[in-house]
Amino acid sequence: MRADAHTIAVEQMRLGDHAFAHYADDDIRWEVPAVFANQGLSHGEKVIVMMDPGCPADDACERLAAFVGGADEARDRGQLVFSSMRELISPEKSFTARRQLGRLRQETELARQEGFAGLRTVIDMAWVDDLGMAVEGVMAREKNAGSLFENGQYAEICTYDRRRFDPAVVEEMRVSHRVALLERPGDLQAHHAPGELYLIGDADMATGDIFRAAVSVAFEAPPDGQALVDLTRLCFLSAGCAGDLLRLIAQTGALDKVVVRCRPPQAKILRRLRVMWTGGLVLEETGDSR
Amino acid sequence: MTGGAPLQMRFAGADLPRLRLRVGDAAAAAGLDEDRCEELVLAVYELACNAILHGGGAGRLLLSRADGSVRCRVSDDGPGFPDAATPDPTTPDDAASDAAIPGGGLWLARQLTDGIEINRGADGGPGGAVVTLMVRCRSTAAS
Repeated sequence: MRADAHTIAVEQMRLGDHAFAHYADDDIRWEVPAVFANQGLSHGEKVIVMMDPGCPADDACERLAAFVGGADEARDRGQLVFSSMRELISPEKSFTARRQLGRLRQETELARQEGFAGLRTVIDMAWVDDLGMAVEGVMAREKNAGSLFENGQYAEICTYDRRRFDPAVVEEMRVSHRVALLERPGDLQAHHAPGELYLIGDADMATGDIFRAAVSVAFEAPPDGQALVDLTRLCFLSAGCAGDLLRLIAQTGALDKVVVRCRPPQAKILRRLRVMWTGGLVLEETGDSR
Repeated sequence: MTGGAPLQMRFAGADLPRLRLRVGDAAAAAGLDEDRCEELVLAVYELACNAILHGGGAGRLLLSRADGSVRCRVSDDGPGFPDAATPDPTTPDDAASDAAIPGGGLWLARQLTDGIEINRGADGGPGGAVVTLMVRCRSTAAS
């Protein structure tokens, strides 16, 4: 699935975000929710997990525990909760967007009253089949849920199983959420624009080939002899990939100037590799990309 | 490292994203600020790559807090450092190698932390490499 201007890694999600996620594998589907839950717990937020209705809560907790330190303890103290859409809208039997949005507002308020910084929910869209919903109604809810996120106290991931939903529905949902997540933690994707390269995710030993290929493509025919490489959506930049970037900048003959936009820790690593520094490279340090 | 308990895990290549997450969490729980956490994660990642590439494809991590510092030990069951080639972590053989050369990762790990110990022979045995990093927590950091 392609990356674009609103693609981020799950590690960069925060309260106020409404995100699309996708999977097509029964093991991989746990990874994004697990990292999302882990981030929430470590930031003092409450996390409600609504996975596939066919999955018992204990199994879900065990799956998440691979990424989430102290998942059982968090569950015991009420910070990590396993629920379902059916349970959320209870005692109503059928789904309405109004009922669901109202209940999520109540849960957010409750989380704040319990002393948490906010509420995160991760919702596997398998509930659509479980409640016999028409997909059109769900799509309308997804596109009109903006008010839930306005006060910055609530974040939500909707995960779509690509085996269950029509590809056109999945793509429409991807573009209509405020952010779209990489399929897996550890992935790397590139988003190209004329003279610009945006890298998203983790640049490390496993994704080094993708990293080098993306940088090489960006340097092939830049307009005006200039290029921008934006690293601010990277969650991790290994020394090897940082060195590869500097090496590729030094080797290209087609560029007068390369601007590398990055966060301070990334700039620090690039400066430590100053032995590979080259003329025409400009480091543009910025805060968080979001 | 909930409640001060050490973080222990075995890892192979596919576990590196999870390892980074757990190390970052443990470092934050120990009191390191965001930048120091990120630097420790990178340093540990470089050592883990060394273990995977040169130490038999897998390794072990032990992260604990003691005496106002975070200590992180990465060990493997590979051939260890040859007698004549125990790396000098103060020189960059190839600082940007993703541990293609062991000294590169060690050099960077040294740059990013407050101390590093390199030993041969995991658990007293003849094989394997054991590298321990130390980062001081904020209250006792020198700078």
